[in-house]
Amino acid sequence: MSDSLSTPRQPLNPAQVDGASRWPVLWMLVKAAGWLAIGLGLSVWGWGRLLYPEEVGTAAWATYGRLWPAAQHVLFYGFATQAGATLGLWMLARLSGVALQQRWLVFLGGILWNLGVFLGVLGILFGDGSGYVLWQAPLYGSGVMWAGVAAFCASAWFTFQQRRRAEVYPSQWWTMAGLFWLFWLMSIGVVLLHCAPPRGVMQVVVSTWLANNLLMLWLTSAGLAALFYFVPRWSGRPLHSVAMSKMVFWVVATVGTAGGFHFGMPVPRWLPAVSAVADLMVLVAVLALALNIHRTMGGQYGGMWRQPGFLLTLFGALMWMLVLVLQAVLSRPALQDVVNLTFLTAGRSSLWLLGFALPVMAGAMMYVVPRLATGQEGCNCAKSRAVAAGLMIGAVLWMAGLLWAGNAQANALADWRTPFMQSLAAALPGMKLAGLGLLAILVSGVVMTGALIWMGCGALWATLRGTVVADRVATAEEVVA
Amino acid sequence: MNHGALIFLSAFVTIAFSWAGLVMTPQLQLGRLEPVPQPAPQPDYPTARPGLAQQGLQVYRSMGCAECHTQQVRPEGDVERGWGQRRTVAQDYLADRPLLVGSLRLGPDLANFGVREAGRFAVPWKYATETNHLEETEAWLYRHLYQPRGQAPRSIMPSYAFLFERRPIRPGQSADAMALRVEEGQGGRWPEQVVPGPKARALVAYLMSLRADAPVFEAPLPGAAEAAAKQSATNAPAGGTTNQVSAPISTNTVSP
Repeated sequence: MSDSLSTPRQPLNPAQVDGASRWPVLWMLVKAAGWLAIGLGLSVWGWGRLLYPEEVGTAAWATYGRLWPAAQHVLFYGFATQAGATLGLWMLARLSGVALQQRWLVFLGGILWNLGVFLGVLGILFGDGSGYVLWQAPLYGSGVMWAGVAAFCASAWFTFQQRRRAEVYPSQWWTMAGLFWLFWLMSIGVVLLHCAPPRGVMQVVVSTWLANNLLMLWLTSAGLAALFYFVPRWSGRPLHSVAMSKMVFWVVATVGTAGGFHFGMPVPRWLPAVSAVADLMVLVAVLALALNIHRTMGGQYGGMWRQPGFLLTLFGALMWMLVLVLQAVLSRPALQDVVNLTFLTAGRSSLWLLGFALPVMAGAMMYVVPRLATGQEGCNCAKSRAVAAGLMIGAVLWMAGLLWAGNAQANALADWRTPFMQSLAAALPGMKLAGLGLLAILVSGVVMTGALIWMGCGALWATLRGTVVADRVATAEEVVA
Repeated sequence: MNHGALIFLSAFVTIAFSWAGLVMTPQLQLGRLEPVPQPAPQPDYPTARPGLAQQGLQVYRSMGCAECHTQQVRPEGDVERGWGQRRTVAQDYLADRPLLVGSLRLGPDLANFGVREAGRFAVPWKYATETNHLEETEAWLYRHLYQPRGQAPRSIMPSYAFLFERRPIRPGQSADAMALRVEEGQGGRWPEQVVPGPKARALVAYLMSLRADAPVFEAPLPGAAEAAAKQSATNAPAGGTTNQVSAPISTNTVSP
């Protein structure tokens, strides 16, 4: 691959870059926010169905078995992945000092992606779900999404190729590698879980590997790309150590891919053994990230209270670390026999989504959307603070509830003399607490979605009326000229 | 890492390495597993599920049953709980596509539901007859699907009443043997009965086909080792004439 640095040109300023990427990025982020509200609504409905099942008479699509996978699909693909890919493209353009290239590909990718998510959620609700964790959509949904991610990757590639800065920043590695990984992972999902599934337990091996890496490679890449971009920006201090960022990258990219297998699964026993070692080694990345953020902040955390988006981003980073520490502890062989098949392990993907991806993406969107829509910075008003507080409190309650429920389940199931129904009764209080957390996240998420959609529509309306939205944002035509 | 090529190369190498190690290697190890020969006249284990049960697997998938139920018996505790005679191993799953082993136990494990005794259910019950246990279990299952709290008051399973049909009982007809309830006709209408629809029948057929109790080398049935030792000591021919506790037949595969 030849880089474009042989003919260095003056990097564009941020306003020019934003002018070029304004509409594709706004369009995609508003759609992601819309999916967030839908996904949270489905989650609360599904969880409510689980806690308070109906006596007789409901529709098949309104049962927990369909609502919950549909909610996970919408939150992971409709919200987290769409927001992560869009923010990645925006950061890539900004850090490269160049306009977002081939914007038509982003529009095309966005159309395909959202169509795929829509078909996927309809498919799951009406009985075509695949049954695999984080890969629930039927082929006609995931195949269309796969074409969409190919378009995102192509636009990212062209933008990166045209970069006008010699240095490549950590957010750029994460974005480029993350999109490439996402494309690879989705290709494997389409081929090996839909088109030509292997025999027997190999389906478990493939689906477990895929789910782990959708979280560990893709979601981590999207989240940490935002983290490494926004923490220095919000704190007003340069990133403490690029070397430490590289260490996080390499640890995640190598050992992080080996997690997800649990003792007791019907797979070769060396797989969970490798996973247990990998989960432990990932703690090196956790330590490096914690140290890097702490040093970047210079120990001065006062600023985060003045910026709700900043607070959310740091909270997401903290939750990423907590979830990985928890994962390392629970992967010990002695514990696995007890905690497996309870909320302690099965709640992993929802913790990644609601504890890590949602706060980080929401924080980044609070920064990006107001700038692109109005040319102004996001406000530190009561509404923003309430949204941030609601998302964080909700995530903490969700995590605490799952830990409580999982622990109660594990203790009851560990002793075979305990009747099974007792494990369910013991888990219910924790499940109700988690439901409260989910409710708090829903309310905050809907308020945030409303505000973002309002801003996006306002920008569109102003443009249609021909008024200048903001003098800081150049138009795409000016940039090209 | 100032070169795009390095980023792409590193991303490619890391995921390719992970793919080769954690997907391709198990495929080489398990991809050629074959059904385990069983003493005649039993067929090899596992066999493909019969047609209705195969349709039931698709109902099981589409209803999202695996969100709450597992199909994996662990060596510690599950056997004592009565969820199986032995732990489940890779051979048990050769016939199913998709394979939904589940990851959360909000409902009991179903790996051996087809051979579960009434007293081993999450809410134990008793057979009404001495001989018709299979039919009684099926009838219990239909009632449980229709109104779960009727069978297990603290269950959080949703009602699958939409899998059942309401049919009129016309003059001269009697109620279906599988009718869950018969309601008197109001206002001159014919009485109605609630009977399992095609999907409910398929789902029940699938659940009743679930059993992982054949002896395999990796997970012999309790007492199989003693039986094998006894056979070896008496120089008796391999295999047995009963299908109760037979010696496991080595498949030379790797123990999961």
